Amino acid sequence: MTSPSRPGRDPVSRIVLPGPARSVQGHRAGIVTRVAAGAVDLVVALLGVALMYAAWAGTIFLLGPQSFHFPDPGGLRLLLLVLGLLTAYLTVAWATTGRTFGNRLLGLRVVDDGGRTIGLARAFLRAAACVMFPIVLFWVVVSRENRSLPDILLRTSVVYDWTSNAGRGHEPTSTPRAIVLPPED
Amino acid sequence: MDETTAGGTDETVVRYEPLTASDLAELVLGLAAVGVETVGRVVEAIRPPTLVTAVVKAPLTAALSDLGSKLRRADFSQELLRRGHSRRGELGRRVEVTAQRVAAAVVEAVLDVVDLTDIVVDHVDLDAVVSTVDLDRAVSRVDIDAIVSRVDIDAIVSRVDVDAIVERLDIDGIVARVDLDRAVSRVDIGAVIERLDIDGIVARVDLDRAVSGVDIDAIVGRVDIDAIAARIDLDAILDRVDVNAVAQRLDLDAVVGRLDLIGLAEYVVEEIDLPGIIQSSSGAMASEGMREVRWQGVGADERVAHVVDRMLRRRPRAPGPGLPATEITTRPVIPGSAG
Repeated sequence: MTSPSRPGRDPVSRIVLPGPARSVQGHRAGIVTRVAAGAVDLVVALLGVALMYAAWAGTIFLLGPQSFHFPDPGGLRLLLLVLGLLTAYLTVAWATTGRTFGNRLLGLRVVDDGGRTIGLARAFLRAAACVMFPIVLFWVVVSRENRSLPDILLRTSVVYDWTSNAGRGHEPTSTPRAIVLPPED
Repeated sequence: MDETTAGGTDETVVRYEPLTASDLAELVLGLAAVGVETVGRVVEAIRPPTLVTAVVKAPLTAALSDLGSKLRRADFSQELLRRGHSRRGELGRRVEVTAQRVAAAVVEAVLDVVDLTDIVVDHVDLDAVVSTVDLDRAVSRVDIDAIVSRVDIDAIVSRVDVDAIVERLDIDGIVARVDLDRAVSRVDIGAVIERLDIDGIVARVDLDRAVSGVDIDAIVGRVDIDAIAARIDLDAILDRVDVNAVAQRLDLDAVVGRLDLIGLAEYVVEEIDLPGIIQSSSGAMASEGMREVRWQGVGADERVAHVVDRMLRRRPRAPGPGLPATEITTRPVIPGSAG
């Protein structure tokens, strides 16, 4: 990974992407797409919590059907659960593929200044900041470089990358064989 | 006898000068003549044979009688001198005749002994002699043709050692003294060339051997190929070439047949990450709706940024990292914002 390619600048994107979209690949995304992606991720987290609640309730029902009643986790506990799940989800997604489901839907990717996927620690710090203080995300509106405050602090970027492969832009792993003409008969 | 007769007719007395050597000789002769006359008388008196009488007696007798008569009429001494004078003349003539006869014999004998040629060569100035000869007139009297016709030229020539002559010739010296320029200027080159059988000459030249002796490499090494190439008008040449005709004659099938198409295809697939393309096409990229959502999101981002930038009265932001200008040829086209 000596010369990381920029997101959306690899040969794949040049082939599969429509012409106008090709020109914005690698640019830092604006506030609308990022908020939309965040909303999608929040929905995902809520769905996750809902699934967890359903699983919990189902387990209780199976253990004592006669005494079954929906459990009441309490509002604060539920909120903490949602935020915790969201943070874990964002951390894992950004540290592995660089994109959450919302990012994937909106064609975004979180990368460092070199275009590479960020590490786990940086992903966690960024996820925690975004979950606890979502307002910092709106610095993107003012920033001339479309950077949020976590981006500035952690030197990360959210860029347009409409390609789906995580391993994009890899260098050829082997030297292509030389084309040798067969001897003339 | 004539002298005697002439002396006889001259009756005058001649006074002689005092006696000289010749006078003395004449005196002796005169005395001899008197003696002879006396002898003649004696002979007549004794009657010599008839032959002597016929040959000697008559003239002698006449002469002696004549002399006697003259002597009687003249001074004896004068008569004696006259007789001696005439006798001397007669004896001179006899001596001359005798000398001529003797000289002829002597010369004949001498020539047998002496090599006259050597003598002539040694002692005669031949140049002077020749200079006095009128050679032209002599030559004009010679029939050269007849002489030449009698000469066997072939035999003469066959006896000439031409090689020896040539060896003794200083060819270089001769050539050095020849004014070749002037000689050449007098040659009608055109006429010479017309008479030359160029084809025959060329046919006899062993061109292969001549060419094999030429060092082509050395010649080529001295040729400035670059300069020649610089003088070639390639455009003019290409204009005259029918590229289409050339292309039609190309056997593309043969070319393609020699290409390792499989290897080439493998190289292309590896280079363009074909699996990634397939994944992108069959995944999210395959959804037209998702692409539209993304495109709308990009457009919304651009519009918001544009509005904020105008509100903050600053230049449009640069949302992307610095990319090479060759990759970004046009600004992003945002749906709905165009126009």
